[in-house]
Amino acid sequence: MGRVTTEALALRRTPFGETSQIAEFLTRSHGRLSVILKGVHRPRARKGGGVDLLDHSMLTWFSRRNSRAMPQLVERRVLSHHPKLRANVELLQIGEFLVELLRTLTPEDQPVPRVFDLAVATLQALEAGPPSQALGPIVLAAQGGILRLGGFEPVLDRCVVCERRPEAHRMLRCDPGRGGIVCAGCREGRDDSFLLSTTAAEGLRRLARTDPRELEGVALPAELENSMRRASERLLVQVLERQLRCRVPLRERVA
Amino acid sequence: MAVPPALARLVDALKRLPGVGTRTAERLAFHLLRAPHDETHELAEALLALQDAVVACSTCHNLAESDPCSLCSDPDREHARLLVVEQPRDVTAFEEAGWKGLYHVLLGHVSPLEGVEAKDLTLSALVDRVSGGSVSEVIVATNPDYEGDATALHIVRALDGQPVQVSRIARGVASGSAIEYSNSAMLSDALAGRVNLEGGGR
Repeated sequence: MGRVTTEALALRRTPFGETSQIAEFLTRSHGRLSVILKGVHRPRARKGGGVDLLDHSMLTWFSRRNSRAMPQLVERRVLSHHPKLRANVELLQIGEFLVELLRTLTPEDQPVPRVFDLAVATLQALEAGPPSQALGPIVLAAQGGILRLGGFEPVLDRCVVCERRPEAHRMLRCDPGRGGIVCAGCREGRDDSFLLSTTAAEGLRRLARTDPRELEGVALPAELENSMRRASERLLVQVLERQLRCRVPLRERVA
Repeated sequence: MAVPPALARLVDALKRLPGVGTRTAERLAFHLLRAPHDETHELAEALLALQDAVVACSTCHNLAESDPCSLCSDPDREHARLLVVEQPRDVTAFEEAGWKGLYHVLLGHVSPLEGVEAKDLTLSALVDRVSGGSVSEVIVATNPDYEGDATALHIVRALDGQPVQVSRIARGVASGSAIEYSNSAMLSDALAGRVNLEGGGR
């Protein structure tokens, strides 16, 4: 039996009996896992109160080798409760979008520390209270980064078939079903492709490699951001094979 | 052993209740089988009466036996003050705490993750009530959690421009608890919602 201490973000919580909770966390060292928090709703519980969505905490539990029983939490210290995020409807919606992305795109019981770090960075960027025009780039960076780190990144810098790089300042065809950009020579009859500028494609690629905390002062031209957002939504639907319940909570920006 | 069909039917019915598995359903069914005749009859009658007798109050949306409910039609309550809660069971909790105003039950909270949007709640009915002019204060008593915060913000948006004072119940360290058992979120909430002590200082 070993003592495990790691950072975690809460992705789900369910009442368990009168005073307990079962919570699902994305942990830094053990990936996504569920734990029992016994007696957490008792007034003098030592586990830092009930778990709330997206709470960033330091968790401690004992793991038993070869045991399939759900681990029982012995200690929880809340590192951030994101009070600024929770005072703004748009930020709360982005938070829920992030929760659904993480629930859907991270594996159970497999460590994904870089995805965890990106999620924490995204929450920190939102908690810093960015201007509304920076929210689009932050959401696109989070979504693109999670897809990239999970191995689902679309190919946006070359043709997915012949690998030829597109010329600058051109309109490209992006085919989500084939995983990215498809050049004119490699297209096969009718497909589900849509038009995407090289600037938008390059922007999506770059944002997927950018720390969201660096985007506080970044504002994209409205038309470019709208086209990047529409493209990223279609690419995400292709990966998930469905729409997320929490749609990207950003309105079309007016130029 | 072959189970009599009547018993199997009861076990199947009980299994549909939340939190009741096969074992518990069987235990309950055998208990009812051994219970006095009067007791099982009383339970059966109570179950049958439940759907017929309980209605949703068209004013506050709480569960009641009449419409409007006994709380909305009570002339001794403060009709200008409205406490907005998520669930009917929250009304019971505030009644025990001695609240003397009226209620508005939202019948849920905003949670896109659960597929619940603001339009699925009784928010428009709340706006209609408030715009009627008889309400001067709305106190939002949604849960102090992620969904409760989102719901409270939607209420504030919906009531924007209405001639009412809108507030939210305090949050922070629970009564009967202690500082050492409180997490940082509870303590920062408690600090933000601190109250002046009369007679102390300037």
